[in-house]
Formats: sequence, C-alpha cells, structure tokens
Amino acid sequence: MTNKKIRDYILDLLNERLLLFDINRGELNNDFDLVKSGLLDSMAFIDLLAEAEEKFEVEIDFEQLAESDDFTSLGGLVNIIMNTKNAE
Amino acid sequence: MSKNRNILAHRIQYSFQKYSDNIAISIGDNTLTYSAMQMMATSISNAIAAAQQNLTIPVAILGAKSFLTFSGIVASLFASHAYMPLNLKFPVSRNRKMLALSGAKVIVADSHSETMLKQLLEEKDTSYYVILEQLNPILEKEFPQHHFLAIHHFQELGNREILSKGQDTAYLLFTSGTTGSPKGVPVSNDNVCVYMDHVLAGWSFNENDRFSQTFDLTFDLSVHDMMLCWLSGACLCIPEDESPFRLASYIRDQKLSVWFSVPSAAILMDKMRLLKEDAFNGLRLSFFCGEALPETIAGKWLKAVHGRDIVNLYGPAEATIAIGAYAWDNENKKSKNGVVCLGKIFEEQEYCLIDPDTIELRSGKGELCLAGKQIIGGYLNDQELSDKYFVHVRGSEDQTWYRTGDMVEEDGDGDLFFMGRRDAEVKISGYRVNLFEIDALIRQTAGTELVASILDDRKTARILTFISGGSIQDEHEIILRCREELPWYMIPEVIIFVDEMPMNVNGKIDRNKLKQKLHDQ
Repeated sequence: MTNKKIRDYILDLLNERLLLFDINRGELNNDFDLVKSGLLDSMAFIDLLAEAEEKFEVEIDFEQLAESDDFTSLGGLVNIIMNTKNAE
Repeated sequence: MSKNRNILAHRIQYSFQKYSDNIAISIGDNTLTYSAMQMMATSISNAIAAAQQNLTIPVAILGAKSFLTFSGIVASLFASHAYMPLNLKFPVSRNRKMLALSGAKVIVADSHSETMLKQLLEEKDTSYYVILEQLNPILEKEFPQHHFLAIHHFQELGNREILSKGQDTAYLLFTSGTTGSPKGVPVSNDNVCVYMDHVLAGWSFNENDRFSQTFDLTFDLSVHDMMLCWLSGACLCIPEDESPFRLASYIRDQKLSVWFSVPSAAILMDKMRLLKEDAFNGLRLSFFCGEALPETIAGKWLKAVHGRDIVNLYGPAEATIAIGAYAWDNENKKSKNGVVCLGKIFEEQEYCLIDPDTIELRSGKGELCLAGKQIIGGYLNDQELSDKYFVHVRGSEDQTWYRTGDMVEEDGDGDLFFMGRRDAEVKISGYRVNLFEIDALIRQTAGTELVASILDDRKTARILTFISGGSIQDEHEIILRCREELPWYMIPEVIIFVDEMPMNVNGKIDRNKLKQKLHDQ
C-alpha cells in the first residue's frame, strides 16, 4: 500500500464535493484542509475516515488523532491511515 | 432582589457580588473571577451608555468566545439594553442584515473580530459606535465616519442603575425565515427569568459546578449555559479551540460536571468510538437539545456518565431556550421510532394540539401550540409574520397560541413525541434551517422559479437543491453565491439540475416526489 493509493482513494470519495467546489484534484496539495475549507463538515469528515478504515482494514485511534493539528488536511489524513496500517 | 427576580441584569449583578472570588469563566488556562468580570462589564456598560441612550435598541456583540465577548453580553444587560450576538463564522452580508434589522448602532468587538469588523464598517450609510479593548489608530483613520470607544476610558465610572422592565428584551436572536430574510426573535427578561426559575427549581446546580459551553452565541441554547452557570456561582468552561473533534478531551481536561450540547456532538463522539463506559465519569448532569436525540446515543451516553442524569430538552427559540423535558435514566427510556421522547411541557406553561389545516383543537396527535410566560410576544418588527405564527385556536379563543410547526403525538402520561414538521423547516446539527430561505436565494441567482431544496436524511442529514431551467447551469456559481449570503449550515451539499421539475395537483413543486427520486437511486 502506498501513500498515493490512499490519496487517490480519498480523492475518489471526495469527487462529488470537489466538483461542486470547482476544485481540480490535480491541483490539490497536501496541506489543503478538508474541514476548515468548508469542503466537509465534521460529521462528513468522520464518515470519510470510517470508509477509509473499512477499505484499508485499519482501526484509527480517534482520541489520539484529535490531538494532532493537521489531521483534517489531505496529507494528514493520508498519513494517519498509512501510519496506522504500518503500526499494525 | 425578590422584586427584581424578573430582570436578568439584577439577578446577574446579585450573583456577581455574592460569588465575587469564584471563577466565572475559564478559557484554557486563563480564568476570570466574578469580581474581575463585573469590573469589565461595568466599564463596557458605561461605554455603551455614552454611545447609545435609546434603551430599546440592542447592543451588537461581535467576537470569538473571549472574556471581552462574554463581558460585553453582561454589560449590555447592565446598561439596560438587550444584546444581539453576531457570528464571526457567518458571511458578512448575514451579519450586516442582522445589524440592519435590529437597528443596533453599538458594537462591542473583541480583538479576534477585526477582519469581520472592518467589513461591517465599510457600510457607508450608518455610523456605528465600536467599543474595543484598546483604541486602534489605523481603524480610526480608515473609518472616520464611525466612533471608537476604549473600555479603559470608562473604568472609573461605577455601576449603572438598571432600568430594564420585565417586558423589555434581554436578547435578540435571528432564525431562518421563509422569505430570504432571517426572523428576529426578541426574548424578554420575563421570558428568560421564568425559564431560569424553572430549571433552577428542577435541577440543582452549585458553585462547584463546571459548565460546558459548546454553542455559538447566536444559538439561544448558549443562554442556558451562561446564565444558569453565573446565577449558580459556577465556572463556565470555554473550549480552547473550536474543534468539534476534541469535545471528549474537553470534558475530561476541564473536569466538566454539567454538559449541554446538540445530540450531533454526541453522535460525532460515538462515530469516533469515544462513548465508552465511564468515559465521562465527572459529568453529573447532561442536557441535550436542538434536534432529535437518538435512543442509541442516549443509551451509550448514559453508560459513559455512569448512569447519571440525562435530560432531553425540547423547545423553539420563540418559547425561550426549552419548554419541555424528558429525564432519561435506567428506569425511564421512552422513545418512538428510535428517537427519545420530548417529555412533558413545563407545568407553568400551557400547550395544546391542533389540526394544522383547520386550526381546531385535536387530542392525541397534532401540531404543538404553546402559551405562557416563556412565549415571546411576536417577531421583531414583522406583524404579518407574527400573525401567522401567533394565532387564536378554535376551541380556545381566550388566548394567543404560538404555533411551533412541530407535529407531535401525546401518550397517556402527557409525554410528547416528535413526529415531523408541517413546513419546510429542517434541522442541521441543531440549527433551524428553512429550506424556503435557501430556495429564495437560489431562485434569484439561477434566474428560475423552479428551485426546490430538500433534506436528504438517508445518512448524515444534508441539503440537496434541485434546479430546473434558468440562465445559470453552473453549480459552482450557485454554491459561491450561497456561501456569500448564508450561514455555513444552510449551504446545500449537492446541486442537481433536472430537465423537468415534478409538480403536484396544485401546481406546486412536488418535494415528496423529489425525495422519492433519491430513494430510488
């Protein structure tokens, strides 16, 4: 599993929202914040994480996660899944 | 004191003196005592008095959840005015509309609000009085048509005489309307003090309590937290950041004892697997209000707080914070369709059920109507709108009833259950959203009458807008316009262009068919 694979999967899930906001997925960089940008609300963000958990068969520690500052950024989100997978 | 029980400012002042050494507010590691807050509020109240003599006009509060913002709220009341909160997260145009509708000329602005403040001050036709912690020469130079007052210039002046009467407005809030303009809900001192008395008698609070504060100040449930806390000499604990993901650690780190939030906050914690047994052992009392409380969430929360009291509150802003309550515990678990019971209407207040079409009394099932001292007198400066919602009911003509729009069912014990709405109002994370207000804006933008927003509640509730015809076929342009005009919770998540809009026999857009379309997908 690679960062790119996770990133692509996340972007696929976000496709509808990205279109609505007229954002080209090719131009997105890793510090783009999915929640602060208004792309997703908090509930939708957690739902997205849940889908990724299922897809990549990981269980995220949300309590610890919430303490980090950048977990709602695209890059941060990819890292969480990657790191959780690697730790298992 | 007893003769002034119906004036919020008197009650707060009494409490501030009684508990002077206690902590009134804590934000992270910073705290403010009651006496320090009283001093700050008194200074601001004198600045308000210097700027605005007409006591019927509310004072606008613009800021983050800071000491200055909360002191500004108390100061408005000390100065015998109502307060009207603005919201830094709202678009400028929404805040501007609220300022214009309320007539507010005085703005108490904290240091976090500068960007929004500057945009509001660009208004050419009005001259505002802005009360700041410190004067800002750049601001003064840039906006010569406005007046700026620094709090510390008013420090030497003592307490002002409180001139408010029971019927005078204590706070003014706005809620989503049908026509594209928000509805002003003025809540009087009488209204809010009756609510406080009911809750203070029903549940006990003490000066060791630590209250949560999760609501935006533009949401009337924030009044419950602030005022019950300060009337009890307790500490109001402000989350250090606005992250909804950190609420669980906020409960523990701040050692909260009294919780109040929308059910959505608990649902989010549940999705994060944080509602574990005894996770929130310190909470002795938990209130929920603002939207349907799912039975499963109430059950998990009960375990997380070790079986201690959970109260499901019910009530529209027009009935002052909440007017019904159901205590959920290990013995009492009434629910219907997976949603916790709304409970009984407070016994000092009155209610009846009506047929929404004929406005005749019904029993067992119908639209809930309310009367009593918690009900506001009517909407702000809008008689026509007020006449629509404050009505006479056939079979009970002797008084005016407020129509909630909530369809309810009543069981043999007098407990009520929410069964849906009779109009286009929906809830998004506890916020009232009138879908017609969204439609009105999009109609203008898209250049077509055929616009219909619906609530898609198959998963997490979201707003979908269908558009047919019109000059603009670009969903992005529509969303952009919504973001300029509407609060974040009113912005549609999906725009769907359709060739043909389904119509019902009356020639109106058939929203049920649109909903059906979704389910068929």
